[in-house]
Amino acid sequence: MMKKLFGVCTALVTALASGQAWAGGQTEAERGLAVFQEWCVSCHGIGPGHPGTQALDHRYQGALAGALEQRTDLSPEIVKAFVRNGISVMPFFRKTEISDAELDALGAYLARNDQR
Amino acid sequence: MSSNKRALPKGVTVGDFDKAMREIRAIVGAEYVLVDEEPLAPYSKIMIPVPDAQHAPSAAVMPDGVEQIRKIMKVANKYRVPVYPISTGKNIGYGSAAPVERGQIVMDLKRMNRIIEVDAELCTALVEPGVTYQQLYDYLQEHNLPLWFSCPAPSAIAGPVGNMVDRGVGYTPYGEHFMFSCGMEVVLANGDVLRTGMGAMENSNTWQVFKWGYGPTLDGIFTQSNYGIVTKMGMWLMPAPPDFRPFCIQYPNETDITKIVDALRPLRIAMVIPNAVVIAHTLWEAPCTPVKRTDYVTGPGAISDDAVLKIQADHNIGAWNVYAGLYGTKETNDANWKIIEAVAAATGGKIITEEASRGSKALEYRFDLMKGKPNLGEFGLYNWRGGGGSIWFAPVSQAKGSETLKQMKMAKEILGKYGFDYVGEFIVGWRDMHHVIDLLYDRSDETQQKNAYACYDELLHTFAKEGYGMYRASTAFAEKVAATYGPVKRDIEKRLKKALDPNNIIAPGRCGISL
Repeated sequence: MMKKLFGVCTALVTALASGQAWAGGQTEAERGLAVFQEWCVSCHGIGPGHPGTQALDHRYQGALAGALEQRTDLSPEIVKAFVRNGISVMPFFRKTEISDAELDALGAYLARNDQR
Repeated sequence: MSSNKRALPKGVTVGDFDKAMREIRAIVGAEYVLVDEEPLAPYSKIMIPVPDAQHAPSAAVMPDGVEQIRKIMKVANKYRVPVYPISTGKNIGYGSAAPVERGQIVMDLKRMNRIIEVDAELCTALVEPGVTYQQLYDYLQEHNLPLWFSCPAPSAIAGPVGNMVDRGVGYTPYGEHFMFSCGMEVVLANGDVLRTGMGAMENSNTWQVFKWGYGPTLDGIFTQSNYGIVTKMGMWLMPAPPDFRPFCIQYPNETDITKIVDALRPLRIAMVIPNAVVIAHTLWEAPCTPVKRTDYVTGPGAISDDAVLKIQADHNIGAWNVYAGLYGTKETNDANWKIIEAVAAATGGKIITEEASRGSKALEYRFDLMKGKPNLGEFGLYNWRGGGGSIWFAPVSQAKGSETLKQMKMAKEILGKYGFDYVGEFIVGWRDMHHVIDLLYDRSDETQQKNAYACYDELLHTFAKEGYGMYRASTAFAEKVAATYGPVKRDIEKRLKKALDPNNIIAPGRCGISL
């Protein structure tokens, strides 16, 4: 839980600094981070012990980051497609798990560093 | 809205299907009914070795509670459309969220995700099907309740109701999950709502503390079956022990399994070791360490024994790796620890304590699971072969060394014949063991997929000839596994189905039960 709170606080500071806060004080990226912490981090967290990160490290062999939060080429659309459909060893996530609005936020969070 | 062209329920016309969906939309709301291919994708992805089309759903519906389910039952009976209930839908390697038969309507219960009650004094909980283990864990943490539960390996995204209903297992002293459930609420096919045990009485406050009630105890018939839709479940929680001492004992030889089991069985039966002990093979540990298979195997076929030995040496992994824990006070654990040390020394095992395990991801996720802390560390298994193929082969064994060695050799030989690795572990109940093997294959390779199916088929029938039955099976093999248990049992199951669900609308085919 502390990890989640820390993550949310970090995102909030980042969001406020970038001036993207909504009326409610939350940016879409902040909400997306909370979704990431709830559903994705067990597999896709940074560092060892995360099978999803491990699989992507193996796949990209250093050409791209294995940890999704360190990627700079993800679009919201690609995030949505993988979440809903799964791929290879990755399971799917239904709208009853991650709602469409939460998925929009997750897409915004993981695409926040998109440099293309 | 047009109906999905890909799959329709067996024997149902397009017209009736469309009418049924229209009526169900009126019950749950249009946004909670899916019939088109793209949004149905999460209900179609499977890892088992059969074509996707075999388990393609016609639709998914997402009720928010018991009243909506009762109304859907009426519609399903009226049009004879079968529904396939799922809870968190993460029974990966057993069929995931896809229906047992093509065309069934998935009834997704994930929206029903309330933790209805936690009684900190009696150490009980009452939860709905959509609750995940992670959610329950967070609830206990946030409310500062020193209570533990037992969870399976994919616990961060799976949940207690679905796991218990499929009679899954975990790794704490409460590891046999059905045994530690207490009271269910079940919606029957005719819309009646049954509460089992003491819950059948109005105003009872003993539903979550006494299982049996009066007369026949019915809970068992709602597990691994299709006689009703479980909408609430009571579960017992374990007080966090003052002292928890997890450990691993590594053994160097594959044949050591005999002495391991014979030495541990008395400790488990006498509850010196109270939890569901795991005895994991090298190739279960390797992917979670992580070790890359491609560093040790080139080309097709199963990994060689020499390569397995090299992995053991390179990464300090045992041929067998025993995971267990002591749960008690410092004084009781100090006393029992001496027994553990003596047993390890007498059997040639090397003990790794929690302190000595720091930095090992394979040990860390195991130790977390033994105290009911959810994670997904075991998903590393899926990276071993890659390609998204997995089916669990899970025979029951006596907790006797000679039996476990026999099963391991049988399985390894058949797996090797089809080019697959023995990735197995034994989970010790009290007197039994669940011998769990992950048949991993590359699902993007059609030949491997066919081989995986044939391999499971041969495993199943070879084991059945020796009198070994499955404790659980995937939707692809439900019928074949049910057949290994003989005609009398199946006849009774069918008669029960006819009595409780005469129109065959709840998950026909699940666990081989249908009219």
